[in-house]
Amino acid sequence: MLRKLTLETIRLLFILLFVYTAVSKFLDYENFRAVIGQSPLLTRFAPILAIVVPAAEIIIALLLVIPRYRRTGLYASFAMMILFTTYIIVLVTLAEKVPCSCGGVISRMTWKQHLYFNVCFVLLALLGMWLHTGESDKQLTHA
Amino acid sequence: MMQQPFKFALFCIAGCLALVLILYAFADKPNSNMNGFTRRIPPVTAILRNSLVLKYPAYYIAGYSNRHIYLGNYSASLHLLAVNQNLEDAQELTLKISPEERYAWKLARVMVDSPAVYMAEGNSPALYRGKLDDLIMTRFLPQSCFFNMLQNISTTSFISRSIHIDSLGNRQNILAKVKTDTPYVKLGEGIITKQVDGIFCTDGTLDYDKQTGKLVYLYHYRNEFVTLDTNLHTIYTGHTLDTNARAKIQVANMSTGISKFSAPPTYVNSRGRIADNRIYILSSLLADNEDRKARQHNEIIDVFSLDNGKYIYTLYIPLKGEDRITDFIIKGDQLFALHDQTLNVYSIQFLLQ
Repeated sequence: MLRKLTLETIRLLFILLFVYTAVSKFLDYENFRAVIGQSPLLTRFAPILAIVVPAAEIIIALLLVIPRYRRTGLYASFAMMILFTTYIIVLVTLAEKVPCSCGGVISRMTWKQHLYFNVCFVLLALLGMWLHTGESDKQLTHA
Repeated sequence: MMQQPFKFALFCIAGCLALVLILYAFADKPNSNMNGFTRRIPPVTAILRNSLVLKYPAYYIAGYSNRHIYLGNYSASLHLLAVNQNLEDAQELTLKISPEERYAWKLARVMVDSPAVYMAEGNSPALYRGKLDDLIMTRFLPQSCFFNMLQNISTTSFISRSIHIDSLGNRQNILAKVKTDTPYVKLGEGIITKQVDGIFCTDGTLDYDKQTGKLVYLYHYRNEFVTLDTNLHTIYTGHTLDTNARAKIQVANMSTGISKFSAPPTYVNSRGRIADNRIYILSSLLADNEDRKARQHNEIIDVFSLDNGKYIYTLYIPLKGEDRITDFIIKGDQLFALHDQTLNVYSIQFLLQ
């Protein structure tokens, strides 16, 4: 029961996170596109990434909503958070400071707060993935 | 089965790290390639004499008198900090202003030109004047224009940098002279020249030299500075050592009317200051004949002649910590440098040729 509840909470948190950030990116698309261009790591890919990143966030949120793909969604959430987190770590340690473009209130965090926030979500996803393996695989399809 | 998510996690971390590092490897890093110019070496190295940790962040240099250096603060418009030449004897001063006065305090900047002190804010616009003795500020020069930078050149005149909009709606920075008598505002056409968008590409710093009555406008993103007289006549256009003749910036215009950089700009010169017939230019670029690590432990200042803009020598300002110089002034053989929340005083030697 507890496992189920935890799993549902994690799932809901990720859906909220991804939908919220994706929507705020799309709403402020012009700005988002300019700001990710300012990142020295992303300048060249800014036009593609400005679409791919929020689109991927929406897709992951959808996967989490559809019961059949829940497991895939959790794994994808984990991968996404790891990607964002490594990006932040590499940027902060190796490159000079750049504005954040994550969307909404999340952009107001300092880099350090951002890192803690991300690590929390990474751990949540990991917990979710682990709980999911424990759950019987009968009703779950591998994707 | 329990192993699977952790295997996936490890695989993910490795994959993401590799991906981001590849992105980093292909990213444009300032000063990673040769910049195509040389400096006169060995440079003259300044010697750190004294250091003062400031109580608050966000200071800027407001000016100096014979005895004191004055710092203004971006987040407290009426606050002024005075220290003597050895960085001792710090006094916190407060400008006195009538409580009815309304101005955009976040944009207000204080200028100290002993015995006078000014406070200017260009969005209202509002200008106040007072004396260092009593710090009572009163409004003056009501017939001013909007500006985003102001430099006082006498007790009755200022040079402003304002945004000029032409008949086609193009916006561009322009220098203007603002005076207490007619004509109150005179535009200095064609001094600041547009290369990309007119606003970002023309950004830079302005400094005035009382001794010679000359002004220098230094561009941030190109290797150029303009020396002017107080009537806004160009005396000559000088060049810094590097090869950035055109500003390497990309600007995106939003539908809201706001413009933003859409790629990291190539920053060339951060601050120009005039002293003793020399122009001191704080550069962000490494020369090909310099140690690749020179800028990790030093700030690099190139020194030019104010008479003709010719390069004379290079000055290294050793950095104590990580904090880079945000602003500096030169007074005699002393260089005062603001590094975020630290004020340092260095002694410098002069090279004649």
